[in-house]
Amino acid sequence: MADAAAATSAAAPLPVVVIGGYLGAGKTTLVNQLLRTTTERLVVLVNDFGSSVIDASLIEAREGDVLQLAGGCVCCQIGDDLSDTLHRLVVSAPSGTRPDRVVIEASGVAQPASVAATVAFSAGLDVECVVVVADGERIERLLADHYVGDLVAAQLRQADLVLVNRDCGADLSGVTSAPVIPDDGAVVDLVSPGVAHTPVAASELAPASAMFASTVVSGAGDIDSVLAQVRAIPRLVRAKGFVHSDDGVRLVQIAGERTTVSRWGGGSLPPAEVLCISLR
Amino acid sequence: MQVYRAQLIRTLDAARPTATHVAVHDGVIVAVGDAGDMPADAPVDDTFAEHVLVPGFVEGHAHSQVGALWNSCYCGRFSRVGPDGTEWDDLPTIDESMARMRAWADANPDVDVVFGWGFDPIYFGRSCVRADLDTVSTTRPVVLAHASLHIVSVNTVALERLGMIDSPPATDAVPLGDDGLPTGELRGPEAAYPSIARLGLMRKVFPTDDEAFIAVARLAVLAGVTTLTDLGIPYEAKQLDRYYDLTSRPDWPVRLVPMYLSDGRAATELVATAASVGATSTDLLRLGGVKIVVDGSIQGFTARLRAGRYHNGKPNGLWYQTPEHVRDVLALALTEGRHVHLHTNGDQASEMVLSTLEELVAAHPGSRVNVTLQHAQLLDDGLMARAAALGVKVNLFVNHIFYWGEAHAAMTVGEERAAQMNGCATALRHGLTLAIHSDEPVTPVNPLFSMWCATNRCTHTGRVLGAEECISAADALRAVTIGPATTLGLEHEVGSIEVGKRADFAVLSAAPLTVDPAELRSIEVWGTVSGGRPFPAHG
Ligand SMILES: [Zn+2]
Repeated sequence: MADAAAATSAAAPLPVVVIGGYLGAGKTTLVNQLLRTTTERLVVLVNDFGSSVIDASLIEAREGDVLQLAGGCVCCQIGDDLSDTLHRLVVSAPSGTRPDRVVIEASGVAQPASVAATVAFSAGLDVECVVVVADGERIERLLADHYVGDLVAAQLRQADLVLVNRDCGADLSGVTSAPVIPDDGAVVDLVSPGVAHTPVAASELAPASAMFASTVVSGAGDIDSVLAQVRAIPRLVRAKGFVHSDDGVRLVQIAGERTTVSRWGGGSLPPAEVLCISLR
Repeated sequence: MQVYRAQLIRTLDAARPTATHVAVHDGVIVAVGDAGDMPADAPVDDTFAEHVLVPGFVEGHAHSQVGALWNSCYCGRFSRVGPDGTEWDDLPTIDESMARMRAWADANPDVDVVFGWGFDPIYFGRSCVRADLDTVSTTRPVVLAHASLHIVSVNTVALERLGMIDSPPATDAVPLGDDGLPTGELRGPEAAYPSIARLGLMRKVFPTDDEAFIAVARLAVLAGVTTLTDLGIPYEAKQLDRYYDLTSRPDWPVRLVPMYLSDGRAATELVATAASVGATSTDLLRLGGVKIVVDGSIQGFTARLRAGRYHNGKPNGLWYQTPEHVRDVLALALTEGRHVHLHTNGDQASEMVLSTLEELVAAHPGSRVNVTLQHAQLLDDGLMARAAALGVKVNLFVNHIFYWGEAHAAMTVGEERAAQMNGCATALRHGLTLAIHSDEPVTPVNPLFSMWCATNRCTHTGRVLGAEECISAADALRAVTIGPATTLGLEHEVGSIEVGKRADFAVLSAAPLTVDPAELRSIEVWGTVSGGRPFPAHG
């Protein structure tokens, strides 16, 4: 842990969750669910900025196109240029306003991979997870639609995790290789399992759901061997935690096929544990 | 009261096609004819005695951001006139582009990042790479934006600043050369935009200061344009205040038509905002139109095609708005007759809009369809017929034939579609209201050049592409005056020289309906008359 001090001083990249899916899929519902349950300071970027997007009960103040929300969260409109918005958010944000996490609700026609690529090319940001939401009752009809069928398929294909609400048993395995998870109300824990910037024991963050099994893997030792142990868990959909390797503490995130490892820049030492969530 | 005498006045009034005198009072035309038709006591101004007057040109599709681009170095393949009237020469080779950037960098030693724009690799058989741009500077970042503004080429210093030399990201957006290092190209908005933001360029590329808008007005005067759209802006207080201020200045020369860009807001909010802002319009500032970008561009392979794929095998393009949103906006706009302009480059995008309109009109007979398809480059005979039946207007992007006609034939849509695209003759055969445009800054605002494209359909190699779709100079003149005026709902005020209309003229060195159509683009523009006041292009 020779460079623990250096790692602490350099801010870790800000984790970004991208929420995609076609118009009416339930993206906004998921965002509101996140805001209601989070203990983090989230910045939520939305494409649609009508007055009805964010639950009124969560809004504390409105200044132009910025909503101040309960718990120190903020919601703003993406505007006409996502990269410009992200740049302002991270690089030119006043000190002390740095959020714990950024959640981007992409527009209904956005290609989630394109949003994720914009994030990846921006300074100080890391893509943590691309979630694509689908309305189970409409998804088969949308996939067959003359105009937008190829777009809807591309969105599902580009997901790390697919969340299906109002499930009607549509089989999406031919469209996407991402885990397809029916929404039983607890999926919000998959999107954002716990706190990235305060060291809470991973075991406290297990989702309260009969649908998921959670396992805690020890985060002591070599990063590759910890990741191998995590990856060996059958039907793994999400993992998150800290590895204490020889060259410092690492924050590890897995969402579907995506693995993100970043240097831990938090103040105190988090426990060496990785919470792994799999489908039962 | 003022009478202008000209060598010839081409009125576009069917009842009186030509004249020599026009009388103006309070910015409005009060008499058109010969000397004997003028009010007896009105003084005669002979400034234009050797010139030809035509209705002030109406550019129905342009963007104000170009004003900002002129603060940096123009690197396009073909000559272009800047807002100060300077003509920037052709750049037939990449080496000549680099020489221009070097000279610009030397002349601007205090600029942190050397920025050029307008580069298009299709004319050179290769792109501009790091080694080219390293000849411009090895100490400052150098960024060359391609004509699409979706790809940039950068030098080694820029790549170092971006941390991409040592560890290039593994993505097609950052292609690697034979040496395993990035070539310097950053492909696609996902890579290009965040990268130039990290180099501190964003505000430089699209600043919103008064100077940028004044530059746009100068470009309009240089081209003979008296009514200019700004086709798609956020209706934000700051931006609107700038428009109110600029257009109320006594020396402001052009009528601006800035439309509200659908930016993801719900249809009800969008249309309500357009209506309330529209109510603040003045003579020189016409607000209230709605713009929806439905798909991408053909040369960028992002337009939506009915073929489902591009000629070279690339997959179909992108929707930029959902069909549901388009329907919601159109449904509201139809009930109040609000003008909606839909950017539909690909034929599938145009078809989707037309199908939506057909359903809406069938469900609500008596709807007022004030809809214009913008670009609409791939409308074929059948789609034009459907547009005509609905009363939909079209603003075709004929400048494409010159700049990208060869690329369309070889790569995007193939020879057969390319010969038909931007089919002005087909549009007129169906009786459609026809406009033609530049999409400045994509191509330069210059209605005489657009007329030349529509009458000659010459590609940049000199080949005629789709001779069947060439139209007459008379029809082309209508397509840059009364045609676009009609798409904007201003046909009762501008677009022809008739008593009661605004005294807006383009002042030309030669008669556009008399010269050889091949010479249309060489006609010189003295300047404009806007609201009865002369605005010389030079001086
Ligand atoms: Zn445009």
